[in-house]
Amino acid sequence: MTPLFRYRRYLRIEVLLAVTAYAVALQTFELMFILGAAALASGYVSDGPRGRYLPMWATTILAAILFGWSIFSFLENPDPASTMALVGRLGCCLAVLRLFGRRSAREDRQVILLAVVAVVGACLYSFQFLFGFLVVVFSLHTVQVIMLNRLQSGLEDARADRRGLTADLPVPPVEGASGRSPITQFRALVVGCTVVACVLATGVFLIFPRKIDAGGASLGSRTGFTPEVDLTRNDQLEQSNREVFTVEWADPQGVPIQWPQPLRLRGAVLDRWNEADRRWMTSAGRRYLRTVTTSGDPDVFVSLGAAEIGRGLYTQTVTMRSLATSRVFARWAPLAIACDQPRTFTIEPADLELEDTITGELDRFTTYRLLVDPNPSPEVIQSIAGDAIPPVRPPIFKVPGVREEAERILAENAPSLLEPLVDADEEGQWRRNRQIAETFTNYLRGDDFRYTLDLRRFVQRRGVDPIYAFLTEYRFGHCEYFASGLAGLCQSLGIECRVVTGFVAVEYDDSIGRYIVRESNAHAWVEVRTGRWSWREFDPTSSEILEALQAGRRSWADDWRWLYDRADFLWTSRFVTFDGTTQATLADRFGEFVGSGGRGAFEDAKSMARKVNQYFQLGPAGYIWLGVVALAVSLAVIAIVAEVRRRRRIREVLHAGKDVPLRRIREAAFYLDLLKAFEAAGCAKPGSTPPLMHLEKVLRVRPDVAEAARPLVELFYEVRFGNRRLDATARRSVAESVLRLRAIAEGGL
Amino acid sequence: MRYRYHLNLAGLLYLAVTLLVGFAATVRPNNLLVWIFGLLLGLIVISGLISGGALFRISMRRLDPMNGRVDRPLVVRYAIQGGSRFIPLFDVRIREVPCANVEFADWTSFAAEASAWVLHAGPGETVHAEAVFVPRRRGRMRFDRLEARSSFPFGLIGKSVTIGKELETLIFPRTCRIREGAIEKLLGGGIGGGRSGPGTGSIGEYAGLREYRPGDSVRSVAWKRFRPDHSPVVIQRAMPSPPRLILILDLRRPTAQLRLIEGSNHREREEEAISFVASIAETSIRLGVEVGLRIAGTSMPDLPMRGGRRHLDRLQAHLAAVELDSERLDRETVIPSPNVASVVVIHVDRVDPGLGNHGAWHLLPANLVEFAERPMEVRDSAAQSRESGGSDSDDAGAAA
Repeated sequence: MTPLFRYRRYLRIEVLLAVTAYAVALQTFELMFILGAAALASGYVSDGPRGRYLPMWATTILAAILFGWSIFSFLENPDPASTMALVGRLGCCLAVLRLFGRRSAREDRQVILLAVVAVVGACLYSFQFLFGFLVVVFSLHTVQVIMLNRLQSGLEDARADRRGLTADLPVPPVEGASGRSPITQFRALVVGCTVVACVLATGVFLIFPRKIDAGGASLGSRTGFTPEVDLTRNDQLEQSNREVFTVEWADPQGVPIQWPQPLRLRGAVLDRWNEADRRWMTSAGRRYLRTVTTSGDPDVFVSLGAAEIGRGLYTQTVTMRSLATSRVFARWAPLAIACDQPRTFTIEPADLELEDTITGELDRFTTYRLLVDPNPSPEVIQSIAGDAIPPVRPPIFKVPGVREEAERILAENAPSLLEPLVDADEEGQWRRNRQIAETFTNYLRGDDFRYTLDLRRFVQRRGVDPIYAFLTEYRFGHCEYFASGLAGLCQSLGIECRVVTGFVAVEYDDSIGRYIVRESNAHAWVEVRTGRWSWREFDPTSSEILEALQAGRRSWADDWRWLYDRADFLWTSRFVTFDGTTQATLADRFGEFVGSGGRGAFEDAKSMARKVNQYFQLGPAGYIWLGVVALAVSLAVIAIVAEVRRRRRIREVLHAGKDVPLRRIREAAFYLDLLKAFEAAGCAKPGSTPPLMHLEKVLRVRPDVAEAARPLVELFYEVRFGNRRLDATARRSVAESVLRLRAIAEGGL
Repeated sequence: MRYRYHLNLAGLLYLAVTLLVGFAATVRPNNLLVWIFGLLLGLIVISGLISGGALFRISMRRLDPMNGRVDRPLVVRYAIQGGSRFIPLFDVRIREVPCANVEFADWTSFAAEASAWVLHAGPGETVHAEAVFVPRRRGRMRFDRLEARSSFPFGLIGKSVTIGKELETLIFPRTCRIREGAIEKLLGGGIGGGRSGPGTGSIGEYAGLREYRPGDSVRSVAWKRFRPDHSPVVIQRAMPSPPRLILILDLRRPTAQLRLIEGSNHREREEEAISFVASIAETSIRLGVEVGLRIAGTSMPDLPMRGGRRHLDRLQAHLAAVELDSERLDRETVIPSPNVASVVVIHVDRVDPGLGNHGAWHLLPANLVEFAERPMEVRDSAAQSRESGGSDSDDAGAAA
C-alpha cells in the first residue's frame, strides 16, 4: 500500500474545506449545502467503483455557464469590492465540477488551485474565528494534498513513459520502487513540513510591516461596533448574535441588578458631520487627553479626574467575550476605573470617552470595572472636565435643506418652539433645546420612519447628503441614520449635540446576573447638551424595535455561543488585531529578553503563576501547589520519555518489529539490563554475537559474571524464542537477579 | 557528483501567486492574508530544503543488464540509496544523461529516453527501480551518467544530482523465428536422427558389432557372439552427433560499395543480413543444431560449431559487436568441407559463389521473408525500419 491510496478522498476533503470556508466567510450557506453535497456525491459517482465521469463537452458547457453566471452577477452589481467574492464563488463551483470529470494529476492541480483561489478570495471578506480556523485547517491540509499530488503526478508520468513504448514483447508495467513503511514516513514528512511551514508563516506574520494602530480591519457587512458613523454604505447588514462582552450592573450595595431602562454603553463620541466624507467625526481633537494607570487589581479603582469619589455609585463590570478592542464601554458618567491588568487608559474629559493606550501589551484587556454615577451632578462633571468642555457655542451644520426640514417639523408638531425666546435666561434656553430634541425624537419614532438593516434601496447620489435624503426622501435606515437625522436636525438649529456609538444592553440573564451584549446590540444615539455641565441622551430608535429584532433572531445555538466566543476573543485579540503597535511591543520584549538573558521570561513565568493563582483563588499556598503540580508534570514527562526510549531500545536490541506485542517486550526487557551489566563488567556484547556464545567469551574473562548471567541468558532464550511467559512475581525475581549481576559486574560483591 | 536546482513553470506561477497574495496583504490590512503569505513563502523554503536534503549524498548504481535485443524491452535496474539520515526520498526520477562526448554513439542513438521512478526510499535504505528501454538498433549501447531528479514535496523547485557511471551493454540483432522446414532444407539431411560415430561409447543406441580391437573396454565385449574364428566382438553404439551448420556472413564489401539499386539503404541492408544470420542461428540452435559463425571481411574471430543457449548468446554477442564502420579486410575465410557441416552464406547485395563450397546455400536478406515463420511480421518490421531510415525504395535483392 502506498501513500496514494486515499489521495482522491483527500482531494475531495480539500474542496469541501474550501467551499465551507468560502460559505462561512460570505455567509452563503445555501451554496455550501449544494456544492458540499455535490462534492460528496462525486466520491461515489466519479471516484467510486463504477467511475462514471462527465464527458468533456458537458464539463466545458457547465464551466461556460458558471463563468457567464459570474459575469452576469458582476454586471448586475458592478462593485469592485465584490469581485473577489464572485471569483471565489466561481472557483468553488469549478472545483466541484472538476471532481466529476475524468482527471489526471494535472487536472487535480487545477482543482487545488481553484480551491486556493476561493479561500484567498474569501479572506478579503471575513476575519471571524471560525473562518480563520477553517483557513488554517485548509492550508495545512493543502500541504498534504499537494505532496500527494506530486506523487500521483510522478506515477502518471512514469506510466505515460511506459505507455509510449512499443516492443515485440509486452513492456513490464510501472512498479514504483518503494522502501519499508512508506505511509508512515510520508505522514511524518507531512507533519514535519506542516510544522516548519507554520513556524515560518508565523515568523513572517510577526515581522510583516504593518500600520500602527491598524487594530484589525473592519471587514464584512455585519452588525457590530465601529468607532465611527459612516453613511456611505448601502448594503444589507447581517444580524450577528456573537457575544461581545457581558456586563454586571451592581447597585451601590454591590448587588447585581437589572436597570429599568436599556443600559447604553458609550464607546465613541462624534460631534461633527463631515459632508465630504459623509461620516461623523470628532471635531475637538484630543487636546485635553488625560491618562490614568490601573494597578492590575480589579478591586482597586483609579479616579478619572473627579475630586472625590463618593458613595452611592453603581459598579459596572465588563468581561470581554469575543470583542478585542481598545475602547472602554461605559455608562454615563464613569468616575473611576479598575482593570485586571496594569493598563494605561486615556480619558477625554470633554465627553468622558475612554480608551486603552495599548502600549507595551501584546493583547487586549479582558475585564475592567467602572464606578458610574448614572445621574451625575454638574459639579461632578465639572470636576472631571475642568476646562475641557468648550464654552457654549452654536455648532456648524451646513447641509442645505436640513434646517428647513427641521423648521417644518417644528411648525407641524410644536409651532411654539419656533417662536424666538424673549428675555430668556440660560436655563430657559437649555429647556427649549431639550424640548426641541424631544420633538425631533418623537417625530423620528413616528410611523413615517421605518427601521431596517437592508439599505440596498438607499441609493447614494452625488450632491445629495444622506442625512437630508434620509429625512426627506427614504425615511428608512438603521440606528446610525436615525441618530444622524436627529443630530443633524438639532445642529441645524444651533443646538449642541453629538452622536454616540456603543452598545445598548437589553438582554439580562438572571442566572448569572449579567447583561449579555451581542454584536447586534451595537447602537448609535444622540446626546444633547441640556446645561452647561449636563448632557442628556435621546434615542430616536425605539428600544422596542431593537428588542424585537434581537428576540426574532435568537436560536438555540446562541445558548452555546459563550463557548465559541471565548475562542473568538482569543482569535480577535491575538491575531486579527495584531498591528504595528503590538509588533513594536513584541520587538521590545524580545530585545529585553535577549538583553536581560532570559530575566524577562522568568518575570513572565512569575506573572503567569500569579494569574493562575488568582484564577484558582488559592492564596499564598497556591504557589506551593503550583510548584508541586509543575514538578509532578515535569517528572511525569521525563518518565514517559524515558519509558518510550527504553521500549524503543528494547525493540532494537531484540530485533522485534511492531508485530511483537508490548507484553512480550516488557517480559524480555531484563535483557537490556543484562547487556548493561556485561558492559559494566568490561565485556560488552557485540551485536552480531548470540548471547550464549558471548557468555562463553565472558566465562574466559569474568567467570563470576558469566556464572551469574547464565540463568538469565537461558531465561532470555526461553522468553524470546520458547514462548515462556513471565508473571509479575517472576519479573520481580528476574529484576533482582539482574541487580545482583550488576553488582557483581561492578565488583560490589 | 553534481547538484543543480531547477525552477520550473509551476514554481514561477506559484511565485507569482505568492507575490499577489503579498501585495493583497500589504494593501488590505488583513492578518489572515499575511499568515497565508507567510505560509506560501515557507513552502518555497521547505520545497528547496526537502528536495535538496533528500537528494544530498544520494547513492545511485546501475545494475548491469548484460544484454538487450533490438525491439525488445531492455530493463535497466538501478539501486538507489538515500544519503540523508532523516529525510526519506519520495518521487525521484532516475534517468540516463546523454553522453557529453559526441565521438561516442551513446544510448540516445539506440533507444528513446526512459526513466525509472522511485516512489519512496527511507533514510539510508536501498531500493531498486527499473527503466525500460526498447533499443531500435544493434551494437554497443553506452551509458554514461545518471541523473536523479525530484521536485518533491511541492513541485516548485526541482533538484537534480548527476553521477558519472559508465556502462556498456550489447544489443543483439533483431531476430525472427525461422520455419523448421527451411532449416531442414538448409541442413540437407534433416534434423532428426543421429549419425554413427567411429568411437565406442558406453551409452547410446545399439548400432552393430565389430571385431575386438586392443584397447576396447571389456564391458563392451559381446560375450554371446563370436566371430567365425572365435575371436571376440564388441558392441558398437551410436554416439549422438547433431547436425552442423556453418553460417558465413559476407561483409567483405564496404557499405558504400554495395551493389544495390539506387536509392536503397545500404547500411540497413547490412543490418538485415546480420539479423538474418542471427535468426537462422537462433532457430537452428533451438532445434538442436550446432552452429558456427564466420564473418568474412572483418577481423572478428570465427566461432566454432556448438550448440546450447550459452553458445547462442556468444554467437549473438559476436554479431552485435560487428562494427560496420570499421575497415573491411580481404581475408580468406576457411570453409569446412560439406561432409563436416552444411554451409549457409548470407550476402548483403549480390550472391558470390566464390565464398563457400559447392554445396553451400547462398542467401540474401530478401530471402528472410521466405524463411520466416510469420512473413508478415518481417515485412512490417522491414517497412518500419525503412520508414525510420527515411528510404522508401524497395530493394528485393537477388534470389538464392
